[in-house]
Amino acid sequence: MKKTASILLALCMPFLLSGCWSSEEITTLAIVMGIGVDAAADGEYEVTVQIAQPSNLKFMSGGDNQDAYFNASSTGIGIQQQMHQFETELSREIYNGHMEMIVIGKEAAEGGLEQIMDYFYRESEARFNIPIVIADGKASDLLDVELKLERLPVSRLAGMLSTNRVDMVVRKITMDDFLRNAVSNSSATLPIIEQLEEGALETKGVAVFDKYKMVGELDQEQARSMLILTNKYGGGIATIELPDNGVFTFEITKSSASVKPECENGELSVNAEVYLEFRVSDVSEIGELYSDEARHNAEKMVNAAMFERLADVITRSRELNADVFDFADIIYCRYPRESESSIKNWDEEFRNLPVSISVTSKMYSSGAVLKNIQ
Amino acid sequence: MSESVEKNIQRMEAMFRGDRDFVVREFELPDGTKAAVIFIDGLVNAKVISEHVIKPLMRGRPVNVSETGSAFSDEEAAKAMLSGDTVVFIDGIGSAEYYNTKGFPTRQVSEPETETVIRGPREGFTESLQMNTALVRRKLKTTHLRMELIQIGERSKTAMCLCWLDDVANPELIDEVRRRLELIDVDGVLSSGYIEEYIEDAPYSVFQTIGSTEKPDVVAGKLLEGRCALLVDGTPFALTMPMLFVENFHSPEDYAIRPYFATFLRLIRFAAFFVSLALPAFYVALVNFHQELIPAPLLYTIASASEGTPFSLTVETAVMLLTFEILREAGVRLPRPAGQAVSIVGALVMGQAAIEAGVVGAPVVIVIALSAMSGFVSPTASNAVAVLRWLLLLAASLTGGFGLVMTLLCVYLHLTSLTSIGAPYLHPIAPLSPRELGDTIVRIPVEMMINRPSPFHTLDKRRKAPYNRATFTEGLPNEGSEP
Repeated sequence: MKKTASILLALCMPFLLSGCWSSEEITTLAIVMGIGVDAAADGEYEVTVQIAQPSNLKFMSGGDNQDAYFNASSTGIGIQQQMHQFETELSREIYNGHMEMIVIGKEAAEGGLEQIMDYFYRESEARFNIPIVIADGKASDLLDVELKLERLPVSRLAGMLSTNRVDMVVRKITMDDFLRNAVSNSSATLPIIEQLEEGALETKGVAVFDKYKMVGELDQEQARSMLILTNKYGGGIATIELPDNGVFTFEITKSSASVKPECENGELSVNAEVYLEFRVSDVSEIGELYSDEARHNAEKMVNAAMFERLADVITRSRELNADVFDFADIIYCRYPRESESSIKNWDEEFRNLPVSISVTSKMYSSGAVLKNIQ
Repeated sequence: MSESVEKNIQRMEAMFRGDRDFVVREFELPDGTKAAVIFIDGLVNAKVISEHVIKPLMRGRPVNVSETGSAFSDEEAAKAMLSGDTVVFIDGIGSAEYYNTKGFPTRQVSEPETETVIRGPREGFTESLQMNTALVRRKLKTTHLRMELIQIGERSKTAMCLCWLDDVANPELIDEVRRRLELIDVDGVLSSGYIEEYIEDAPYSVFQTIGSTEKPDVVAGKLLEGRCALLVDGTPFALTMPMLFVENFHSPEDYAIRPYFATFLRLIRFAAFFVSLALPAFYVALVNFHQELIPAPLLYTIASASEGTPFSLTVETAVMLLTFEILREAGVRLPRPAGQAVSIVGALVMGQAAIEAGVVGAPVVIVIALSAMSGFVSPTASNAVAVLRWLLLLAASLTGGFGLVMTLLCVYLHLTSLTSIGAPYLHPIAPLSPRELGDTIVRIPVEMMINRPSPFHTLDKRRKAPYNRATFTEGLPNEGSEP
């Protein structure tokens, strides 16, 4: 009997002694949907959190136009401190588990993201797969963008980055991707979102980082070329300007790049072969596209234009001294011994690395018409 | 016993102390010998006594009643009388004869209240043992069907009948059950539930390890699997043993519908069991401990619902669960028309009002309602579930998902440790016997069920020969062709 009682007591212990450890009533949480970080004076940060107001998010109460969120801002040293400030102010616990996006102001990014990323890295609630974007301007403004179909600004921002959008110029970069690139030899990139007038949003291009510091930008076309070269391009609309002020617009439906490192007599080089498939979207004047010759001409035109753009991004990245193509890793994987010394001094090496590009393309459809409308 | 009728009657009267239903009818045989019949009014068919016992005796003819016997002591005579026989004393004979004149009121065979089926036999057991044994006999017309009469209860003297197929069931199983039954020393057995608790392997478990059914076809099915059944007089529920855990999720209907649909239904019953058992606890664990596991839109809904409710989620859940249990109990015990009123007041008025008044959040009500509904899917498992649900809720509210999983693990360990008259309760899941999974969570086509379940160690392992479809004729003769 005594034995049974003691066993029962022992069995109860873990439950009773734990005493609701880490239990958190949902009504005591402030659910953070998005967070924005801007640089402030004297190395301080202005932190903006977007907090959901569930009672206004309710689908039933569609009628009232109350905001389903509010933004709170606080300025000070570090991010954790501001979070505590919010907790005191809102008398609720900040809960980061459902954060949808991190927005970082351009100025803060140029100052370096070490401290900011460190906070999110240490913070146990926020997920590693949330996207990070750079605001072309202030992050707090981007978090206050006009709602269109969504009920939260962050949802609208996150929707813009979905990978399956038709016109993909930038890729969604998650916290995990960013950190992995930042610690490697290659350079990390982050999409830049620009707020135009009247609440329109645009992906302006990508921000290029040297470790954690933003060193420059690639514009939309360069960003696309970078994606093509890193074999991450999902497809989208591209335009070629014709000599006579016309345009040739085509949709790239498939893109694959094979990047092969070479090492001859200790000289490293990279050979990139790009293959594109496209279909014609809208053309100002080019005659018929039915004949083999016309088709061939169109392909040649696309090859030439794309080659130029790919070469441009390589030039640009050399200017920025940032290997956004992961060339360092690709070379190291193939020639670990030969490249060992070069990798150590990669910034220098990258600038002088010979890169040869070849583009082949295939037009597989001219749409439902054989000739354009005359 | 005396040779004098009068003395015998006096002693019998003394034994029954002038009870109102104790009837003595004295008469004379044609040769003038004194004779008397005694019986208990209400347990006998008066017409049989007057037409087939007294009348022939008075005319000097043999009594024409189907079943007779002799009693040599007062106790034997009394026992016969109490089971509806008529005892005859004749002057000069030192023993009594008794004749079967049973004729007490019984309920007609009707459709069982529990275990209703859409397609399948509709008859159910009644309170009369005699009728019940007949119902089983009619399903199994074999001389190998054994029906052993046992009487238990010092005062109730309840008759019960142990049934088994002697060419199928393992004799050791029958011996064990018989031995356990004989050990019972109790005042009265008023329903089969009394017996169940005595002979179970694990009487203190929350799970029942002896099956009960109201349907003779189910009993016949269990007997064919090598189990035994106990029919108890006065109870329309037969006990079947050994019982396996998976039986909680089976219905006789399963064998009357297509195997795919039957499998689907069984999966639903299993799922419903877990939903009913763990959903409230799971909900509390998620919302209080693991918010990150809830999809964002659902989290908003939950958060907006609990905004402004006065109690913690655990208290809310516990109160709603308690309310449901009270409602159910009230609904079951009340007469049917009142029961409906209770459910309307309970379900509609209280549930709706509680949400509108902001006392509880709507998701909690949904969770409890879903859990409660699921509990009704497998009625036999529901009483274990109703208890364990609270345990899980407690564990989840204190330690979250960890506690929930640990407690579920304990329940599982407990289930694996259970046996039912020697058979592993969780067979064929643990210990795993893949060959026998065919008729557990899934229901394979009937023609594939070749063997009987192994844990019963049946004498005849095979249920039937494989069915040979190769001999089927390809098609029917065409119209107009010569036969």
